[in-house]
Amino acid sequence: MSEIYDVIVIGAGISGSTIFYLLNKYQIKTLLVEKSADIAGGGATKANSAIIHSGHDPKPGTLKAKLNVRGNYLWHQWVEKLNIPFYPTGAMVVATEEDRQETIYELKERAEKNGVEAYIISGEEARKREPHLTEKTTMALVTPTAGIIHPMRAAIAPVANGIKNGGELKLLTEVTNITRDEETGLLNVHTNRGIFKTRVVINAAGLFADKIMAMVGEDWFKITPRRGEYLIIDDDAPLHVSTVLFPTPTPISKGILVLPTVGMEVMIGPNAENLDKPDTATTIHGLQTVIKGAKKLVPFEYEKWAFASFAGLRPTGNTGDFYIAHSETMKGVIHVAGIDSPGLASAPAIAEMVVDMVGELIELKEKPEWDDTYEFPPYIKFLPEAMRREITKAREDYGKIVCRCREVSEGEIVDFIRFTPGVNDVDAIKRRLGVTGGHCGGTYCLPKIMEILAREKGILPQHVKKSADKEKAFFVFVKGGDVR
Amino acid sequence: MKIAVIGAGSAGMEAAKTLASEGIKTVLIDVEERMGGILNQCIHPGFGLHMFGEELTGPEFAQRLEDAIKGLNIDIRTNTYVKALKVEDGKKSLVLQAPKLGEYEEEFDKIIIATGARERTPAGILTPGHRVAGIYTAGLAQTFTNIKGWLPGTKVLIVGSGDVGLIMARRLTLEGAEVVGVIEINPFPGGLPRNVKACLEDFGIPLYLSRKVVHIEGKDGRVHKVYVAKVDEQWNIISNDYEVFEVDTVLFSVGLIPNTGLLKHYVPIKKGFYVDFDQNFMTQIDDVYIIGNSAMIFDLADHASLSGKMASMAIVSDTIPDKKIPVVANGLLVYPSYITLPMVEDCVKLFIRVRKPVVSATIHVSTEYGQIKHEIKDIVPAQMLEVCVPGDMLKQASALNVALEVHE
Repeated sequence: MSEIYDVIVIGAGISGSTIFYLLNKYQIKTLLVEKSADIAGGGATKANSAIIHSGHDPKPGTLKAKLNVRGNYLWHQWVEKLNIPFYPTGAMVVATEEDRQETIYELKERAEKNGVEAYIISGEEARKREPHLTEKTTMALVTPTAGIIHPMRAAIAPVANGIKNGGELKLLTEVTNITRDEETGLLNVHTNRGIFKTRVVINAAGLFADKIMAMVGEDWFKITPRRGEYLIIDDDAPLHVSTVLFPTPTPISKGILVLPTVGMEVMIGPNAENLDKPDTATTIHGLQTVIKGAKKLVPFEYEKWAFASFAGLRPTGNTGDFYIAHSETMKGVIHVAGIDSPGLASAPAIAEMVVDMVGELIELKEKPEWDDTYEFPPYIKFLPEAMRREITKAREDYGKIVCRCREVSEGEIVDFIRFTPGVNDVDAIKRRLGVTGGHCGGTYCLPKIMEILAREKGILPQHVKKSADKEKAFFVFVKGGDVR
Repeated sequence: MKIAVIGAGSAGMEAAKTLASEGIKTVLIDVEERMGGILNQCIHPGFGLHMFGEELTGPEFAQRLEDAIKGLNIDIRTNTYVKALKVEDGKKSLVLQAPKLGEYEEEFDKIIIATGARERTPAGILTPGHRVAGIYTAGLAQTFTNIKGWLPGTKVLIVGSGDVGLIMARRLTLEGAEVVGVIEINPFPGGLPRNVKACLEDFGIPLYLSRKVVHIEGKDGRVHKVYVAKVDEQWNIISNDYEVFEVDTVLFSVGLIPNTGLLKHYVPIKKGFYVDFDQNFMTQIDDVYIIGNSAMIFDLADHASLSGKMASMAIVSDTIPDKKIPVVANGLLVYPSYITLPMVEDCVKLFIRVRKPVVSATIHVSTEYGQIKHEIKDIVPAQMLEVCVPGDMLKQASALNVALEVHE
């Protein structure tokens, strides 16, 4: 007889991770399954704008509006407890001479209805705050509660905390079916790694949430992967922004943003393109659209100063809102589907809502010893000077810089491999520490990182992969013939 | 006086050698465990002809420089990363980080930046497609192959016909990989003619001119196909008949970017990530110099070393700059971008590159006080030209004009 779980969460994206975090507050047995090789390794969470939106934008009365506003509030508390890099940059919706000016006033009204702090400033004031803004700026709506977060750490910390509090994580575990065991009344979650029995299933499968819904007979829900492409601008470039800058939206488009990243580079994007199936390729057309759009807001020769590009997918549902509901066909299953923007910002509130729904199905008794904090290994670059000096001296490998672009030491890489769950490949280290993702494109550091990972895992560097869940993702071959 | 030289490559080592030979207290800093910089991975010959009068490989060239500085009184700090340059009230200091010592700050009287250049990334030229294993800059492939002993790929397409790309085409062929071709966006090769001959023609590797990557398709996490389109001289795609190369690896050799980041808070970083400097390689910050490939992209390591020597000689001469004359270039790339007087040497050396291949042309160098005509024949952008401007042409000149006249 295999173990019986109380709750199985499908998908370790930002929704699944935060749900897993809050569930482990209770005296229940939980399992988080993820089909890729890393927490948030496969879908929307790893590649997006990284904004904790204020909640000014969603239509009042929608789930998106409610959960975004609450989520923003909760993130401000959670980033402290969970040691997640977060910058309270605030955001501005910028109007230029070419835009419909009334939209700004309408957005302010909408923000007020949603209970979000927002005020309007003149074009002159906007350009004083962000000197690179276009000279055509006429005014801007400021939403001070918006910020940017490290999206990967925002998913990893809740999972790591959940594990600390007794939860279980299984990576490379893909759900293939969900059935009801008629004898026991339990749910069978079928995966490539066997069947797991549980009382409750939470479908937080992101881009594949519709596939999971179809497994339990709800095939009316459809997810469209909506691709957004981004460019990151070299941090040596003569361009700086410190606020998330939105253009004035039109009925057709939300427009292209110019914003800082947690690494304090400038990022531009995303465009929006509906796809038939998930595909994270960047395209000539997409990147050109992003550059053209960004220039309207902040004129700059982005094409001359970019060093990285990526595409992310938003799992857009067909209801026009988040779809968070008990299954209509299989009791015990809860769907968390269509979590596109502002999914990252809403995640803590989604988690609260889902835990309440779990409480309607099974009894939830708090663990008296629940510890809601998590501490990542040190991220030295962002520590105050006195602490940096102390820590880089304390351990020899903290003194040795491996990644020159992001100033990451060998010790930090080793710590993250050893102490954060999910590090099995180079991309996992990149997503946590930024290494290989700086303006050298990995030229200086990739061979060293391959050697560190190989050493830590006891394998040959030729066996190190870019992504552990991809069959052929090895970086290099053995000279004179492949021994794999 | 205490001087820091940041970077122990071909330029930095030569600078440290020159300074220390003059009895100046010199600290030579490098982030890597051993000195030599990029020379260490350049195991092909072609180095040293100007400096040592014989042909050496990169590591041999580095060893010569290393041997020369070992006997001198130089404080060599390898494994040491320079986090930041601080300039406050004329005082200059570096924030450094090294194992055991941790992060520390140290003041210097003068600083020479010799941090080399990084490679432009595939995304830096807006290459579209999947982000999978098997997409590398040519220099990274060179590290894999020559330093680590790993083969970056078995079937390889090279994008960009710069010298590193050409050299890697030959290297990987010798290592047993199949190089299916080199594509170049311009209608002419980017590298030196001798490398086109010795690395491609001698090995039967095709060079496809006027081509651009329009999509990299990945499969199972590795490069699978590269789609290539024909372009016109303005790099616009002219045909939708894509050529498809089925390869597991694609290398990019699409230009070098000077590492000028240490200066970004103090001087303008110009297009191409260059900063301005004078004929002695001094930046617009007094007593802060920039040499080698972090100043400008040199054609040869020998010339990068020469820049280290020139900067050091200027420091030794202890001349106080008095007047600036801007250099105005027309149709050419010319370094330095301004000249300071009084001069340290008898003439000012200009480093000049053409923007596209030239069959026959005249370079006119002129001021109010005179002019020089420099005839050139069969010159490509990869080659660096040198023109010496005598001091009597400068004096009270308002500008030094350098213009290209192409002969039909």
